[in-house]
Amino acid sequence: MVVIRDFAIQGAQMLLVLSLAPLFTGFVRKVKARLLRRQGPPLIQPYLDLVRLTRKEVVLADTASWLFRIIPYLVFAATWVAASLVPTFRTGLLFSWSADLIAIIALLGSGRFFLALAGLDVGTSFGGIGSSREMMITSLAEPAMIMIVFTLALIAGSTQLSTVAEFMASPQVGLRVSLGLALVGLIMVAIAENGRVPIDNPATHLELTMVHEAMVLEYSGRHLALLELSASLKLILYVSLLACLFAPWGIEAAGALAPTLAIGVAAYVGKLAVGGFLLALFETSIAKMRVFRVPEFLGVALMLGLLATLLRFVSGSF
Amino acid sequence: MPAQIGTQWLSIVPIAASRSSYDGLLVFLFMVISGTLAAFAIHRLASDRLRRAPAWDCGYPDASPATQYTAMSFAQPMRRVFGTVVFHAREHGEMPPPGDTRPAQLEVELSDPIWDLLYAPLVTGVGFAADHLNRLQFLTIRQFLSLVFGALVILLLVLAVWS
Repeated sequence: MVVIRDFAIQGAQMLLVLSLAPLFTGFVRKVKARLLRRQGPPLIQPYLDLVRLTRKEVVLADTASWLFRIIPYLVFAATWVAASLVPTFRTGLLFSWSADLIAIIALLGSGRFFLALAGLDVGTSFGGIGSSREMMITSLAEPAMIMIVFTLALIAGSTQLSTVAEFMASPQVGLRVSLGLALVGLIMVAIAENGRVPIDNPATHLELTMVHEAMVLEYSGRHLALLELSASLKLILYVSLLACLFAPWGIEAAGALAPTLAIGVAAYVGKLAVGGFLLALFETSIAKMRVFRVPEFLGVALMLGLLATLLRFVSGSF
Repeated sequence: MPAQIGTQWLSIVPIAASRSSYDGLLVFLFMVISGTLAAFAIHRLASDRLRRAPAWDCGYPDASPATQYTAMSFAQPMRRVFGTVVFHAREHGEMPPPGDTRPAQLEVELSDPIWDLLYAPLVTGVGFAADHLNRLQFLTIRQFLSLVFGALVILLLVLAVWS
């Protein structure tokens, strides 16, 4: 009985992130449009786009290999699994013990590796540009992310997200300098990894500035739908990660009873709304960077992560 | 790994379950199931039509060899970002004086630290050893047999001391 309930809760978490991901993307787009005094597309537009794309036929390039066709499913599976391992409304889910934060980063990393391969597969120059730029951004963002994970692991004594979230919710965390540095660093990494505005513009179709969009340029139909859904899932994953690490209020503890489940879900949706609003606000207030300014941006994130880890090593009270 | 004893099949628990634990098989199954589920749902409920066509490439269909993406172009952003710090990039521009008919030249010099610090010493070491061990091939039969015998004694001694 307990196992069935745990299975149901894990399944609910998977379905929750999957069903909320397009809505979240739509929400960010809507807020951005309203901040620019435009009407903006309706909130459910990403769902409509997904349905439209899945109904269309796939136009596959002559030069595409078999890898090109299975990569959307691979990327989607890796991102969905990673997103369902991050605690959203409840910690200590059934499968949360099967992978910790480092494994989640590795899952996202393998998804990105395959996407870069897909960019190169057809042999067009735009796909190549996208892949090489994505790899450049990743080579800077991933070390920063790992340093931030080290900081969190040193403070919480664990890389297991459920344990870290419970520790962060407990009063023994206190106010720490290294946590602040890690928060800023993680936000910068999240912006870079999701290709948001100062790094990459998700709405652009100006070829020379594209990164993520250039890699998926040759995709169409259901493949493109899966990749767009994966991008939404990745965005919601990073916001959930930030929420469960730095704002773990309202997350239901592992052994809690049913009535608090609703509170957990409501708190999660509230946190998503706040996160989406802040993201849209940040994106409208800043201009996109040139590609070769990105290393400076991510270098700052890496320095913050390094500094946080060092401070934590030097003195336990930081 | 003390915590590893008594845990389930194929799961890795380096210190304690509350600190970090991995179950590669479970994650793999998880991925296979979700990927297959997505493929099945899309092919069943939506469309599974497919058409082959020339690559779109944003409207530049006739790729010439000059615009083709190569390994060099793939590495270009990386080289540019890490060029001065890691690869010690140096540019030498050579502009011939007026009246000289030679073309102007721009040379970029990069050095690979992994090659210089890791492989180059290894290659030098192997070359040095090969040069000096070459003399063993020109021993007389008496010297050669005593060398083999000595090596055998040393190996047996090592084995005796070790076990």
